[in-house]
Amino acid sequence: MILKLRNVTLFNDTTPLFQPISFSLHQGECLSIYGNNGVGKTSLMNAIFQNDFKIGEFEIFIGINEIIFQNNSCMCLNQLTIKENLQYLKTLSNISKSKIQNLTILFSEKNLLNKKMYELSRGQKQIVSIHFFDLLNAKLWLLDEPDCHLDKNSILEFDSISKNFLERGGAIIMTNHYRMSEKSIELKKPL
Amino acid sequence: MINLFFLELRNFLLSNSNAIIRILEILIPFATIHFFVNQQIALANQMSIIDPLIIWMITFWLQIFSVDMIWGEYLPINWWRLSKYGLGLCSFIRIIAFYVIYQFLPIVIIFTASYTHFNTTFYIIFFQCQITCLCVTSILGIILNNQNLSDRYIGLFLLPLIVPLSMIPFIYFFSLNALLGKQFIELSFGLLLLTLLITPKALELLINQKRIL
Repeated sequence: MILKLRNVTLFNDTTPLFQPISFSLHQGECLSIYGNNGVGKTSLMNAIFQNDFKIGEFEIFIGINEIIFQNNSCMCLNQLTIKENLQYLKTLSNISKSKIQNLTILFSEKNLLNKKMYELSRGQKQIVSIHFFDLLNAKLWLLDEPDCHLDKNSILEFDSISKNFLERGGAIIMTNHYRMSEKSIELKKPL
Repeated sequence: MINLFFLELRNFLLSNSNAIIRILEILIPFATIHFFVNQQIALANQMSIIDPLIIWMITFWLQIFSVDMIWGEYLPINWWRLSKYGLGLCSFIRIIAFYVIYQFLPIVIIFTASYTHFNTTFYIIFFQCQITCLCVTSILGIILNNQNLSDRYIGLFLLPLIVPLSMIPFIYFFSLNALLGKQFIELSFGLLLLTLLITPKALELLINQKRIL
């Protein structure tokens, strides 16, 4: 098991953001959290990322340094090229040469390798950062609206990356405005 | 790790608040003040007092200005968290790279342009205090940033810490004597060691609490 939540909710000052929810997540599972704007999807992701719940029971069975959180902003070195960002990642973690080489080939085929991160469009940044995540040794991905800027091909690319990650025993929680996977939870405003 | 430092350095060097503009921002007011002071007071032989005071004001302002900049950018928290060096050390490397580009380089230029002759003891005390200031302001800056207070209260919280620290080398300069110099070196070195020990761990704890959105 990766994590377990029971009767958890979050507060905006004194007002609860959503009705209490409960779920558990195992290796190889993908959970979709959906709901309207402002219902607290991103706040819930932030709370999971920081293990910060004041109401309800929250248990996590992996280390804080095994979780990745992706939102719409790309958190990499913006002034550097994709190639340099790959070098940075390689220095940070023990990533195999073959993985780096595969990504280098992929990005050079797309003519992105020598582009600086700030020159990329939102969708390109998003798919690049998901590729970067795949290099790191995480067990849980928290993805906030992962497909919102992606075109058709990038969505297929994202699907294949996430499928590979799940097959390797990882787990994913993603938010969106609609149901994205079989296992899903709808966040509802309190009555 | 050196590779990491150089990539961070390159990122800062190319960042939108371009380093050259940054250095000019500091150098032009310095040169202007210098010119007018030189015209008015140099004859009265007071340049050796005015010059260090201008340098102190500029270096002090650099500290306050830096805090807002360093944590304003998005941080690659995910990467740092999962790295073999750990979150604390990675963020510390970023601070040092930031220091080199935005504080060390302008300060070296200012010292080169100044008329006053500073001795080696002064430089040792000065740079030790500078790095201590940077660590303290970084920790405080990220605490305020986490609480969304950095816009309004940054000066208020930083002044009591930064004013005494940044003044230590200048207090020594205005009352030069060998015994005081030795004591000031020891004091600033002690402070530096203490902050270097605390900073990576403190940054790790604080960045872990930072809201990404």
